[in-house]
Amino acid sequence: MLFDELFNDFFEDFNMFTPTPQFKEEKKCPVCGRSYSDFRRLGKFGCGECYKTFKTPIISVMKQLHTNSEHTGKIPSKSGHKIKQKRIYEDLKQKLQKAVADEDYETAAKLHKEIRKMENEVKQS
Amino acid sequence: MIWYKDNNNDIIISTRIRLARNLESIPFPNALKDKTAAINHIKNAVLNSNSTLSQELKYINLSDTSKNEAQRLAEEHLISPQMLDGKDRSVFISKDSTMSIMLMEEDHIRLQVIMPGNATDEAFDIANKIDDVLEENLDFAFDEDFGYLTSCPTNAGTGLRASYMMHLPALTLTSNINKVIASAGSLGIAVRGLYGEGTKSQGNLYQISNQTTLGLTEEEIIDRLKTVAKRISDMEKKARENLMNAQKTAISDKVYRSYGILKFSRSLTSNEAKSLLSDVMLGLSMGIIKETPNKSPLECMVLSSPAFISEDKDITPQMRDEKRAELIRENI
Repeated sequence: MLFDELFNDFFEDFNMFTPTPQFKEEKKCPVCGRSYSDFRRLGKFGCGECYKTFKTPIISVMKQLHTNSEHTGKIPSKSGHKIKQKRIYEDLKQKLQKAVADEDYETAAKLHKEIRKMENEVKQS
Repeated sequence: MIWYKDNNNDIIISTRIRLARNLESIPFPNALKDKTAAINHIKNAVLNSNSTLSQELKYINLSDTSKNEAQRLAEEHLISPQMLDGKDRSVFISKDSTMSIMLMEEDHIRLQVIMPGNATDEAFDIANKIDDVLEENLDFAFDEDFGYLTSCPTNAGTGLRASYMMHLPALTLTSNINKVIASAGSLGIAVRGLYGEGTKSQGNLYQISNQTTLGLTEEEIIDRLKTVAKRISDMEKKARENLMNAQKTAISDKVYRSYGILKFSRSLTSNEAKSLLSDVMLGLSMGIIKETPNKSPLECMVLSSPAFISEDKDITPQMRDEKRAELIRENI
């Protein structure tokens, strides 16, 4: 697989010129115990938690692979209620900005009302 | 509708939708030492689901399955080649052979729907519904930003791989296939050999699939694939027309020679059979061959693969080639 090769090559080259750096305590994933250099060596993550543990470098990996790092597809309905609400909220905010820019104040007022309603629901829960 | 049986042997041969899913809070298969608990958890979730799903599925433990039987499932594309080592791997297969749920492949769950012809929307709809059913009893590893989390970052996000199997003999014959591969690649669509990554095309069959899984919705991914496949399909048609206009005798001769060999030979290797069957498939679809064969060239390709020919018996490669020639002779 191209991606594995990419990292393997990179790592081999790296080893040729410099001794493997011995970090005292490299950050490890609390669930599977793997480090980010394990991922670079294997090209695979050990568990879902790795994505949270190594979030910052993974964002750039994702941008390279998919030219994007934000999921816009399906959300599991059971655990995803909050995420879905958040997506709707962000969508409303964008629409509001557009309405304001277009000077469509009637729509903007409606959207503003909806946004406020959602914000109140979050506060109450 | 079995993809290779109920097939009109057109340019788009089959459609496959695959969803990768993992359980929350436990390591992915490559980092999971004892897989028994995870397997049982998923197995129970499938069998106890509130749907007709469990009645439609057959559970196969690949570590109890003969090598040949497993190889046959791989030839039918119901399991991936990675599943062949069998250890700790198992699969649910639907009775109509259109759907399979692989357990402990690269991810905990690989859900797949495969159908004949161009059927992305239908296949995705089925896969999506089964995913909903599984989700009722399972907690999937999911992240707000990265979507469904997978062992390899190339699958994260939607976890969706949508693909077409396409028969592209004219583009291959006219050496245009490399241009097709390059231009599809620039649109985020990979064109590969039949058995996925790193495999060569056999019988002019190619797998066309999305590379991007994150940042697009499932519908957008499928639409992109459809657009590219349509373009490739049109190019193949054009190449066939050109062949027919400019080199009618040469192409008819090639098709009929292959047809002749398949009808009369006494020994055929697997690769030779695939390539000749591809010519006959082209001949049928271009109207060069008028007779309807007993079994379609595509079905002959699958049924004459080594695993199907051997039928669990230890036979020598020579005997296999003889059996293959016989099977094709009788059916083409």
